Formats: sequence, structure tokens, C-alpha cells
Amino acid sequence: MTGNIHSVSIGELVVSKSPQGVLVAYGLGSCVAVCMYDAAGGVAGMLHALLPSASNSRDSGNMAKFVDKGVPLLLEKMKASGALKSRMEVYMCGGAQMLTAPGFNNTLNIGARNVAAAEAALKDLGLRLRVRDTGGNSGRTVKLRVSTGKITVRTLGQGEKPLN
Amino acid sequence: MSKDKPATDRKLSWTQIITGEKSGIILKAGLEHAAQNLSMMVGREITITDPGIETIPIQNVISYGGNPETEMVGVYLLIEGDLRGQALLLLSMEDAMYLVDLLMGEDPGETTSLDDMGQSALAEVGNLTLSGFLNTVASLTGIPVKPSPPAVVVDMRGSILTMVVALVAAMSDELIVIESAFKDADRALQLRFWILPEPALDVLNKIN
Repeated sequence: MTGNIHSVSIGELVVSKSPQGVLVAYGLGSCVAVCMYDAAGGVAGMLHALLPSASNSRDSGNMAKFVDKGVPLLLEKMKASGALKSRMEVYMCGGAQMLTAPGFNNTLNIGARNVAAAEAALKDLGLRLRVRDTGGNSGRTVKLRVSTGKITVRTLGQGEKPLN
Repeated sequence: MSKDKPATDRKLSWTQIITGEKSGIILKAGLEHAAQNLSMMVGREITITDPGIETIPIQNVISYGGNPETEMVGVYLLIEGDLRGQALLLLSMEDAMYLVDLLMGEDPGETTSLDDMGQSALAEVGNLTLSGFLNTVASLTGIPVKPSPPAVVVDMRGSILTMVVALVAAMSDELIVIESAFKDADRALQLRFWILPEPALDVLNKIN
């Protein structure tokens, strides 16, 4: 994929209006990437969150690492860049279960809990999820093209596939 | 005496191991034990580099050591007991298959994919090296350590590494890692050995 790659790291949220821009979250495991897109406004945004909720955290620094805080922050930043909520397309990828061995229940649940937290946060904001690619046992790289809103998901087994 | 020690004791223990007076001796002994176990297992001499203590901001973790999309093998376990944390062996597919060749007594290059047998051989490598290290630390410090059985994950580097970040990030934006690497006389193994103490503020303060 050509364009100006902008890597969205863990705990980051990036909003772009650059027509050449491509937002990329590499190697999502149990993390989720929530993507928002306003075609008419030419605004695309991606959140790469790691943990479902800020409520059990001792850390109050970077809120974008938490799904429950990061999703509303992403919407705010999209709006601040001129996106309209009524036009917003929302997508979600990630939330895999990386460990399938017994005895790792705590670690196992994080992916599913991230997905559930994102669903809840979107519902609270009155946003509907268009397409998702969540769960499973494989890591994903997610790319969002600012000019078209097209998203691709790459896994090691399946290669790169269009999501929308 | 209660069996469950208060959290403050656990933090202190990691602090001593990482920054205490005998830190260097304890870590080195643990790593040498790990390398000896691996040497015996593969029937050739494997050495290990001196330990380093790394502090990695969580945003940088997925690309630590290389491309986040590269296919890697992770052998992972949880550390339970009075010292808590995680342990991870991270190796390239190439080195993983090379180790499987050694373990199975095949010529190098014989193994071309990781089947269940190969994965279980690598789990045993993780067991002997990571647990070898932890048992030495436990016996030198007198602090009981209980490693879980290892799990093997084959996936993108970034996905494997975020697995360990998830357990740390609720408390800290940085990973503290006791890091070392294995070396084979004939070959530079890309085999990263990570011990990740449960994050505790006093450890963070002492290192930063």
C-alpha cells in the first residue's frame, strides 16, 4: 500500500485529513483498533487500545491505551477535525486470543474484554459498528487509507484482505 | 505467618534482584543456569550474554528488535508465587527451526515448519531456560517462585509482544525487562530472553 504511512502505536490515537495518509496499527494481538471515517469530511481516525477499562488502573496518564476512554476521545478528535457524527463510519479489528494453552485465563480474556468494552463505548456514543474483524487467535495488521476509508487486515496465515 | 505475603514484600524482592548489591551475581547465575540447561538439551555449547535491564516505553514495544510484522516464535510463561511477573523467549522462525533440528538430532535445515512436535520441543526449551533462571533466582534469594507451564505462540512480533504489555500497562507506561541473548558458537542466535517483573512503582523509581 502506497502513501504516507503513519504508524499508530499502542495507546495512541491518530486522526488525519492528509489525502496521502495511511494509518497503520501493526501486529495487533489482544489489542483493538477502532477506526472512524467521515468520507465527506475527508477525515480518518484510528485508536490502538490495549486494555478494556481505565477503572482498574493505577495509572491516569495516557487514556488512549484504554478502550473505554479511548473511543470517546477518538470521536472528539474526529469532530474537532471537522468530522460529523452523523456521517461516521466505524470499524473495529483485533481482540485476538493469543494464548490458547490452559492456565492463562487472565491473559486469555483480554482480547474478548477489549472487544466488549469497545462495543459498549460505541453504544454509549450512539455509534454503530459497520464491519468488524475481531477475535480468533491470530495477530493482525490494520491499515486505513485516509483518501478512501478503505481498510485492509493482514494476518500471517491469510495475507492482506479488504475489510470494507 | 500468612502464606500470602503483602504486595510490598514482592515489590521489594524484585527491587533487590534488579538493583540490589548482589543483583549482578544473582542474574548472571540464573542466566548461566538457563544456558547450561539449553546446552545439555541440544548437545552443544550455548552461552548467554550478560543481563541488561531495559526500560521500554509501551508505544515502542511492538517494534522492539525489528519489524512488528515479522513471524516469530514466543515461548511464554507466567511467574507466580512470591515473585510475580512474566517470562518470554522470543526467537526468529529460522532459529526456532534450527533449535528443533538440534533437539531432534536432525541436520540443520531439515525442519521447515513448526508442527506440534516442534512446538512442544520449543515449549521444553522455554521451560528449561526460563524456569532454570527462575529456580536459580529463587534458591539464591530464598524467595519461592512458581513458573506456570510454558505456552508457545507463533505469530507477528508485535502481537506476541503486546501479550506481555497487556499485563503491565494498567500500572505503567513502561516495561521493565531483564534481557539477555543466547549464543551458539556457530551461529548468532536471535533468541531474546526476557524476564518481566510485575510492575511496581518503587522498581520503576529506582531504575529511572
